[in-house]
Amino acid sequence: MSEGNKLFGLDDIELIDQPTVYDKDLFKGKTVLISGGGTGIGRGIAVLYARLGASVVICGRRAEALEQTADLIRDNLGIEIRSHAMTIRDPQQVASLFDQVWDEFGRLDVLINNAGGQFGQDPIDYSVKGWNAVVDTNLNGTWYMMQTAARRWRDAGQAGNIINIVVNIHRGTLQATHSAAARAGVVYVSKSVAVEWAPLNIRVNCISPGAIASNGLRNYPREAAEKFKYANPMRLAGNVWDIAEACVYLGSGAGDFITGEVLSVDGGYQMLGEIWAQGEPDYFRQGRGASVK
Amino acid sequence: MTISDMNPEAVESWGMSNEEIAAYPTVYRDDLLAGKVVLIAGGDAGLGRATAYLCARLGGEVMICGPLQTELDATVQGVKQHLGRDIQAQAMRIHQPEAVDALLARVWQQFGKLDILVNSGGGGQTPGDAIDFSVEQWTDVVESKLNGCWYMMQKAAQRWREDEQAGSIVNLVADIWRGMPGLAHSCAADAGLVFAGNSLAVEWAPYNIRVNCVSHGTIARSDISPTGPDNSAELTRANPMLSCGDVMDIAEAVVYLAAPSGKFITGECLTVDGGQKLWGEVWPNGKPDYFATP
Repeated sequence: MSEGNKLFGLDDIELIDQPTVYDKDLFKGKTVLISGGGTGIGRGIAVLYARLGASVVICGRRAEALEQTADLIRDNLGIEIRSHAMTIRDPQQVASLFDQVWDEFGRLDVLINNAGGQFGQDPIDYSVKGWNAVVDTNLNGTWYMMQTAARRWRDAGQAGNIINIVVNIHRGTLQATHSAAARAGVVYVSKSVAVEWAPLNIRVNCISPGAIASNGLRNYPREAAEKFKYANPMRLAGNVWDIAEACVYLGSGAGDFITGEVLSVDGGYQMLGEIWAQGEPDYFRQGRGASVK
Repeated sequence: MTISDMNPEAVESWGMSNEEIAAYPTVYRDDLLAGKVVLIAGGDAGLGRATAYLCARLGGEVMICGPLQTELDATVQGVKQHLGRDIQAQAMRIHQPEAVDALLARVWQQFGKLDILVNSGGGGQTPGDAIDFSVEQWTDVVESKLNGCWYMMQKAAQRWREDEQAGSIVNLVADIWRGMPGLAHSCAADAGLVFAGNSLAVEWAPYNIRVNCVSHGTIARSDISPTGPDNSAELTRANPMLSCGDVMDIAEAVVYLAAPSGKFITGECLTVDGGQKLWGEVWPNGKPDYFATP
């Protein structure tokens, strides 16, 4: 697991060559939509689904990043994927994205809501704008995608499958409270509609990654990011492939009887370890056992 | 309840046959477990048997154990007949520590190592009102399920530590998340197993041992079921999908966690229950009138 020691994880060519546990034709004839497919974890998910024979559609805000993913897959695997530059924060753009998917493929089998993100800051200093941006993207944007997909599936009489990539919120998130709030919202809306949409044959699950070595870590101070891999009992970072294979597991027939579940892929971070998005405050570094109240 | 208490015709019609299990189109590549040694406690029945079939089919070297020689023999023969693969079996009870020692000694003697330990054994619980449980009813379940799986985990871990080999443990537990009325003893034992597992996931991480659980909801199985096929109509209201899972849902979950797909997963309980932990009710002993909706 040497890649666990590489701060930004697998490079593009390693992604292409990474062995997978799955049967190679698993997603033949299926259509998969991945938000945030231009970078990091989303790129890994797109590569794996393409390799398994799916028709892949990626979306994201930056056309350039999306094109890089599409080029990577075309140049190395000889597979064309579709990309749409848009923001999930705008319900109109979400509607038009789904129009294009249905126009081209006439169906959608799996929706992976991977787009999102946060910035590290002490919450006491968040601006209103900063808070709202994180809630709007992660919670509202994901919801627009979920609801729009569910309506299409209902109207088309097709079964559906939603996988939301969240962050590991079980013990809160440090210096990323806005994200904890938004992702907890996603987790619990998922559980609620897992029940409500069961009559429509729509499954809804979440994947909760721990410290994952990817380009996403470039958003954090390097000194803080270098410590993320100690944030679990395995003392290593996962890679985007771990998340991609989790997405395939839940997206495939193996997950037929799974709904409303949150699958943590975190090296045990649920139990032990700390992720400080901006670096551990002195209080916690020095304060253990130092004072008696 | 044992198989002899059931109507065999009803039993046959509920759940997948061995033939169907063997032919099930799996999501995994067919050499996934080549060179891997898998020990499955309770591999002679239900979820454990399906896991044994799948692991053998994916190229694993499989050893199963369980209390009844006849059931073990049937599974060994079934795997041979349907998949053309030889697996090993040992009759033993996992809550007897010396029997666990002997079992693991045989695994190491035969294969020189163990890669994956699956605990699907123990249990044997009969549903009942907790207020009327006898001491033995309670202690039998705790002993056979919680203690038995503990002996298996600890003794395997000791050998892995000694050999400096990595290991992966998957424990099968019931859907404990909202309690299990009518099965309080089983719920306690399984909850104990989940949280022992979470503790071990941290303590044994330095030995490269991963510890995870699969929590299963209502699963149609062709053999022994404490809730029984007679309740199958009732059971389909146990989750928002209004259906039962099949044994391959569980076998594929076990493989997902044990294979490289799970290499960054430890201390996790993967719930395969059609959403039962959110909606639905299971009353293995019948629903008391008190809870009837007027």
